[in-house]
Amino acid sequence: MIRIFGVVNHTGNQYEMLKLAQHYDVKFSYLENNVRRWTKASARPEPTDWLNSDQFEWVTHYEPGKYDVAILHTDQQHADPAIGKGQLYRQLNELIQDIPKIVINHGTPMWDEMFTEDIVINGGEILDRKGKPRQLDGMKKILGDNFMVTNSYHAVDRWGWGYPLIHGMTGSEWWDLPKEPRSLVQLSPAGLDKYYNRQLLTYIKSYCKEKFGAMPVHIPLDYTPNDWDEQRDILGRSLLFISQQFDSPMSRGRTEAMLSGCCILSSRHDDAERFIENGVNGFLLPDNPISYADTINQLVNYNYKQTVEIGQRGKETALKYFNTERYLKDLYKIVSGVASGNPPAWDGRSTIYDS
Amino acid sequence: MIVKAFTYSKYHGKPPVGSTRLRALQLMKYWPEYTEYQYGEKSDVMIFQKVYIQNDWKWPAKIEGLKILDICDPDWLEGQPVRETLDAMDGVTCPTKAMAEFLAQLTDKPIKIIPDRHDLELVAPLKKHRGHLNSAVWFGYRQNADLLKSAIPVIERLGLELTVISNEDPFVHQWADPKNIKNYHYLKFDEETILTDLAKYDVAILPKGNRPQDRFKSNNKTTLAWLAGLPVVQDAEQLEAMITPTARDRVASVCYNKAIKEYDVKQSVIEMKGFINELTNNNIR
Repeated sequence: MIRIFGVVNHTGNQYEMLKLAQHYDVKFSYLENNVRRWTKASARPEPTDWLNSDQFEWVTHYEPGKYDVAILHTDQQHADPAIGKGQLYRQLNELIQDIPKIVINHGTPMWDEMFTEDIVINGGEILDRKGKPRQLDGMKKILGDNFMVTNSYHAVDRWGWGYPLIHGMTGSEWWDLPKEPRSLVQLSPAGLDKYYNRQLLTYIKSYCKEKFGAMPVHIPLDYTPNDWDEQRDILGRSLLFISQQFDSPMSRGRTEAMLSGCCILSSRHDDAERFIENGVNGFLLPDNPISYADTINQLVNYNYKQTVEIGQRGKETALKYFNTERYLKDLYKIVSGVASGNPPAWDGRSTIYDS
Repeated sequence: MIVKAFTYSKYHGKPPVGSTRLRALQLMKYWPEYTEYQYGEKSDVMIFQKVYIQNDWKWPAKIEGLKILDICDPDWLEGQPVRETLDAMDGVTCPTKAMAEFLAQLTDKPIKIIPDRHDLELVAPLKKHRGHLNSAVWFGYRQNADLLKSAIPVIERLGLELTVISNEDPFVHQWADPKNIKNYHYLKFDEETILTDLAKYDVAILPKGNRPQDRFKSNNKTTLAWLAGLPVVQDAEQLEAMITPTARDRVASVCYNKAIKEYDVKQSVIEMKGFINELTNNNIR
């Protein structure tokens, strides 16, 4: 058995990751902490509700000698120690010295509001709020010898190192329901602006109102699901899903929507062009609000049935590429390899896409 | 023995706030075994500095070792589950008698009053006051600056310059006669320079609060001003008694010496260690 020490990050990501214990001989021990919590109000069921005590446990502290490998989480904002959310990674990384560590880096080096990509990756001298120079360690130094996993091939290129692990989900857990003629977007008001291209979303909303007659339903601003069921319900009943992000390496929301049979309107960034064929199983659009608004208008008002069919082909794509079995197999390869001192190497070729 | 503090600042992912500095970080300087909790660590003693159990975070109740809640604000007024946290602890520390008396209603766990104290290594020799009363200072968090409103009339009558040292400018001049607006100044609070900043003025005006939470407040601002060599006044009568440098020197000297004697943070270290020993012995019994 491989004994894995970990912490909660995004529950959506972790929900899929913890399924590893149902299919492989591993056990997860998660540190309870105040920074990231997994509760009844979280977006996914609590692990103790669906895993047994041989598969998962909460622990109060890290105990050297008790685990084989640790899985920690970062994104580009961990480069700045002044950002509180990085504490968890930094402190556990310092504390855990007896076992190898896998670090899942959920971001790209883009943090335009604060630093250049070079600073985020390699570090350098910056000015603090008082105008005094201070040294910032780049992610390269912060991650050190840890085995860095990214969420897309594109992100490996952007960081300059790393091993890609493309997410996977259980298709049957997503609800493909009769589609309402509406568009939907899922984007938390928290987080980075340019990275998620909030400006484009604002303009898309504006032009949609003008050209289509209604703005996209924005979760959680226009509608806040009380639980996962309500999220799956509104997703499953929406004809279109907008994924306009600029630099998120692999949007989970987009995959959830694809598995729910929504027709995807996606930006061209990151790996989107590797699995979305324009007009076949979704749409790849330029960063232009009029393109989004015109497309939404055409699809909903004049091509509803064809759009449903495109959504179905998108679902087939998601089931093919982003399924749990493939994801867990890839994850186990990483976990077992790192735990045994033989981490996998990536040759730069796609491990899942056709081309 | 490994002693850790889970501080308010750490819990909220913020740079150290006043209570964290006063109640935890200062003590660590003189107590090598006492350090700030880092995620994943295990300790023999955990001191929760203004950190409370939450509906979705029961970790304080689950950890092993001795547990102490250090509470310096009436956070139950903010809706914090103080009672549930107390139930999970072995003991409580707080800075004031009023706080201790209130908490005693909620728990039968041992309660120890450990006043807010200061790091005397940072304190300069007593300053010499010169000239007639000319400048006054108030310092504290912006949200407490309303207390100054009652002091404005006498400040105006005596023609004093008032400087407010705070995290943000509370725009105290809004209560002043517009023609005196130039007499009101704001200085950004800086933990590293607060003692030398305070020492530039003739007197500290710290009006007594009458809000529900004020009865629980400690005297840490008063004692800090004393250590900066300032007399501290609460009302017009006391302020008017500080007109001459002789009067200010006399009061400042008494207060400075009292603070040096009674408000050395090393004493807090001794008291906290003693309390831990007491709780440990209780648990063994």
